[in-house]
Amino acid sequence: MTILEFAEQRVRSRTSAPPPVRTRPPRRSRGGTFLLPPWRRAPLMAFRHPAVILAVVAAAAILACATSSASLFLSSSSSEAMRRILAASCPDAPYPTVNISQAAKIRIDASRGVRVVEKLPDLARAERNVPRAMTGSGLPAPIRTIQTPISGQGIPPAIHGQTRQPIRMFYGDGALDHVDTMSRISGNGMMISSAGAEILSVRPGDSITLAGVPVRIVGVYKNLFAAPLPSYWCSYTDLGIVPCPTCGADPPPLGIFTDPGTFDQFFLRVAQAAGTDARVDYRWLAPIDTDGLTLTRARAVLREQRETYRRLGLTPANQVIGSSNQSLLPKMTDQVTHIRDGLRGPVVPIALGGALLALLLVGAAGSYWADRRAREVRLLSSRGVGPGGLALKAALELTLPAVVGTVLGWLLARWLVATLGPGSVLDPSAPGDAALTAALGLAAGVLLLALVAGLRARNATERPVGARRSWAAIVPWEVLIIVAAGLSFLRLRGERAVVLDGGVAQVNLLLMAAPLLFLLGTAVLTVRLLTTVLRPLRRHSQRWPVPLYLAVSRITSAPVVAVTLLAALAMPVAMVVYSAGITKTSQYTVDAKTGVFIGGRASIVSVDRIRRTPALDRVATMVDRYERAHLGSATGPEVTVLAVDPDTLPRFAFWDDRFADRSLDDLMSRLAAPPRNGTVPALFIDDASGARPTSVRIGDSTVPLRVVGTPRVFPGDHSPDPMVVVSAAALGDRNAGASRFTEYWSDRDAGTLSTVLTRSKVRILVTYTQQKVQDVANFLAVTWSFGYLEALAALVGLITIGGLLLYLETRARSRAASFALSQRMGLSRRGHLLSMLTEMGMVLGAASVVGAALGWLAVLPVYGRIDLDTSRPPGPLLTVPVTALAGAALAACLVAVAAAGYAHHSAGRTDPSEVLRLGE
Amino acid sequence: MKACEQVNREVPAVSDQFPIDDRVPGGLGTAAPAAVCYDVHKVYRTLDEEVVALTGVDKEFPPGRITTIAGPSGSGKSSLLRILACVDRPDRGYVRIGQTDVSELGARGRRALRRTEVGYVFQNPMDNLVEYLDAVDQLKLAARLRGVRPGPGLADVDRLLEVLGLQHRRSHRPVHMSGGEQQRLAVACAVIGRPSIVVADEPTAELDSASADRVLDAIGSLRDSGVAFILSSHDARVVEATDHLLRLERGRTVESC
Repeated sequence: MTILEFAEQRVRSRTSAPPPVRTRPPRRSRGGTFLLPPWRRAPLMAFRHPAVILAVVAAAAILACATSSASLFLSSSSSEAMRRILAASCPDAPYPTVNISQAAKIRIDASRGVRVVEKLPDLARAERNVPRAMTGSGLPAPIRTIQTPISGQGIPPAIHGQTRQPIRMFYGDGALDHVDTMSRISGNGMMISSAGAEILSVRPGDSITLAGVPVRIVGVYKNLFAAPLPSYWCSYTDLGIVPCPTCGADPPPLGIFTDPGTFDQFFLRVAQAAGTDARVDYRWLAPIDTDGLTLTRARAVLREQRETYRRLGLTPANQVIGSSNQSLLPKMTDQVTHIRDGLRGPVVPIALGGALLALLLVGAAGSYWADRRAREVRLLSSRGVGPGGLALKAALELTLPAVVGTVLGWLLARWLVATLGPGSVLDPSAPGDAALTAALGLAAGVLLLALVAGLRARNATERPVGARRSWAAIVPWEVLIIVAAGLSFLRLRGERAVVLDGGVAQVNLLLMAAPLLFLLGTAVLTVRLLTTVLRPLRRHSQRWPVPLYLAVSRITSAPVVAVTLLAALAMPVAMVVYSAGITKTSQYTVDAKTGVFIGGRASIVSVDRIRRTPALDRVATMVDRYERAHLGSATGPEVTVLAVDPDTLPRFAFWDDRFADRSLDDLMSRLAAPPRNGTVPALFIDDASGARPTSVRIGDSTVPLRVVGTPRVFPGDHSPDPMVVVSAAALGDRNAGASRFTEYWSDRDAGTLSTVLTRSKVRILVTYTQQKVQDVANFLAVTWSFGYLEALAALVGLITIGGLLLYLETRARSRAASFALSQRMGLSRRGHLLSMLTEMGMVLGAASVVGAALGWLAVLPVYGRIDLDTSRPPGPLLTVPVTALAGAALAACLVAVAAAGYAHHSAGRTDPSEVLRLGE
Repeated sequence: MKACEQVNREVPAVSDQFPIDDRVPGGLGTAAPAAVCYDVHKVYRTLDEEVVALTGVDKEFPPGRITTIAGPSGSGKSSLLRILACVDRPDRGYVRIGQTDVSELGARGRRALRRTEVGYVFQNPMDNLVEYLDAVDQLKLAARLRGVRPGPGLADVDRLLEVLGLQHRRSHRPVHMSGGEQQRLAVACAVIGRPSIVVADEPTAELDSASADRVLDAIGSLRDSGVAFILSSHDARVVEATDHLLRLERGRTVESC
């Protein structure tokens, strides 16, 4: 058949006759194709290409790290939250507790007109049953305390000689190990505090009488309030072992029995002899191991406690005798659960985002495989093997390295969480959960590897040359992302950025989503716009030095790759700057709030006011606090008055220049000015009213004021009431009848301050530290959320560096060819290295600047909405994340130098003749 | 269009080198073309411009003949070869391989056609072979991918190796063969299973003259199997060894015979 005949046939076929040729290819069976050597040997093939293995192992490791980090992080954070809550509580506060309060049953004998004991408490039975029930439920063997009720009901005063003194009685397993014994004789009986011994004039060996029953004094111990309270007694402050600020006297003495038998005998004899309705509180505490207590373990302990109650026929409700007697573990567990739930909201989507980004790297590794295996891929494709077959081959080759990478990533995630925190303790189930999510990630990763490898292979051989750019590549899709970000911001304006759930601050998910969308959209849009300057840049670069010209040429010759790389590098920088900006701002704001609450870095509250001494002046400033004072007259609005020492306050008080329009030194110098016309210079702090007071009523005195400053915030602000600050010297003795506490504010740690004050005989009521206040304030969920975002940004940075290396590897051959040609044209090795440095520096420098600018731009509309505790001043204080910015810049420089060095080295290593022969 | 001077030799008789079932029914001279191009146009588009690669190219490729597509760089040789190898489609015109109209086929159909009807030989010998397989396994793989089991005729592995002078290399991997041997083995892989056409992109460009001659001899020895060989080349020896010539310049046919 000639062409002419054939053409005629074609024309005929279009009009009438059916086409003479097939429009479908002939089919032949391909049974068992995938048992052929390229597939059968595939699992071992990858090992012939170490670079591919390395890329897949690294990509899979990063993916596994991202997927498994969420469950590990949540577990770690809940354990750390539990640890911090435990650290801020008394050591025995979480111990499962059984409280049994028993009283002698009293009957009134009408014939004799007296009350008689009808039935005594069966203490022996309780002592037998409770430990058995506790250990039977899985709890450790309990320790026991016995005490008379707080009210001292039914317990008459101790009598020695002519002296009568109310006395409280206590027994606790091991309690005597936690007192400072001053004198002791052998035998059982009661140890009495030094204050009690002094009042009753007793010594060891003497006996006192309680309800007509003699009790032998076997020792004297140092008053517990004379020194910092040992941690054992932390839960027993209701026994009156610390001074009462409003009592004006020392607390009643505490008698500690040496053994429970003596206590029981004494109690029964008292009940029998006195015929009173005497009552005694028994308490068993199971000393669980709180070191490394996880949420799962805490829940298990609660189940054991409930089982104990069930065995004893008790209900949790009848265990409530007083909050201090009740185990705080349920409350702590609830609090930790809230923190965990608060974290889960932002952490899971962030982890998912990180995993998606890591999948991009996995996809790039699949593409890299297709590039490295191009020869075989092209051969098989030319023989009719489709993308499916090639994808299967890629999957078979890369699964083993991907599994290895996943295991490494899982181990890396565990190590990172253990090392960087929040804490090193994990729930036993957390590693298993993390492994499961990592396995799911692996499955998705292998699928994507195969898919990308198959598509890349198809594109390499089957994609039409010079095909028109698809409309999808031209449309600026990122505008949609920016619009979504804008909508999220708008929605966020109508909601709270930080919500309180169960007292725990939790981050609104929009606070995470909106900026991330904004960063993603604007990063892509920015680099799309930057592509428009590439062409003029290339034109101008012809007059520039050779290395610079080469660098610009390389960038502009592959504009899509260059700007994609730029966007990819800008994203992690932007995320680091955003998350660090928000974290730093929130952290500093929380520090400022606690600093304002405490007054300084640490503060001790006492009822004792001492004279200024050089030793005190070295560590603290003294502030008198008068609460419930009144502005104007006694019926005026309530106000807090602080009487400060203007000389020392600026040295020790927490201060930020944004608190006032004037400096603290200036305010203090105005405060220290001598009174004029009987008026005391004062600072007035009140958000609500702009009116300046003219006098304040403190106790029985009215003090005329002259307001010399109105700072917005001042240290020592505890309540929403207005505050008046005056000089203590100027106030003088115009404080009669006022309730006063004296606070010692310091910039040192609490231990140092406590030591100095104890030496000066100051009795310590409360110690505040920033850490203590912050933990109680439940800000952990917020700070950790942003901490996790920062970690994700670092992960994205890693992903990008991985992408950069893959890019360099993929372009290695063309770089080598370019280098060889440049050398022939006289370019020195130094010049080439310089051009590589310039190329990498330009891309990474531009990415850092764009990323930092976008990140900071995202911080500005958001930071003001993150007020973790609106009840405490000050509001959000914008803080520049200097460390993060410097770190990002340093990392960009290091990566630029390393990448340029690597690319230069690999280009120089190649044989120029080989390169020139093979060409691109 | 210039007249062909060097080619248009007598069509050789069908030898008995391969069994009758591998020959073209009715003899080579009367057989329907193994491939046909008619009024083939191809245009490549970049951001700024359109490059016309082929304009109205017509050609028949008879079975059992060697046709060389010649022309300077940018003449459209590679574009036509890609279309004939079923990797690409013409923008306009008609292309038939065996009994199948390529112009109407999608990627999947072209892939299937590539598997059964087209053999391809790349310029670089190493690109044609799987590096970790010996010669016998190379051929077996090629046969299995074409959907045939090694057997008599063009599926006879031993016979092909013998015809191409590669019997002594049957258990050698490509890395242990010379460039010429690699390329001959590639030709064997391309013809195994008897596709309609074998497309070879400058198959001798990377070989020394002796090796190139042996490759051309190998192709010549397989000519009477009924497979149509379509080569692209600048090499005068290749043109000399072929039965038909298609010379292209700027995408147009300037010589065809």
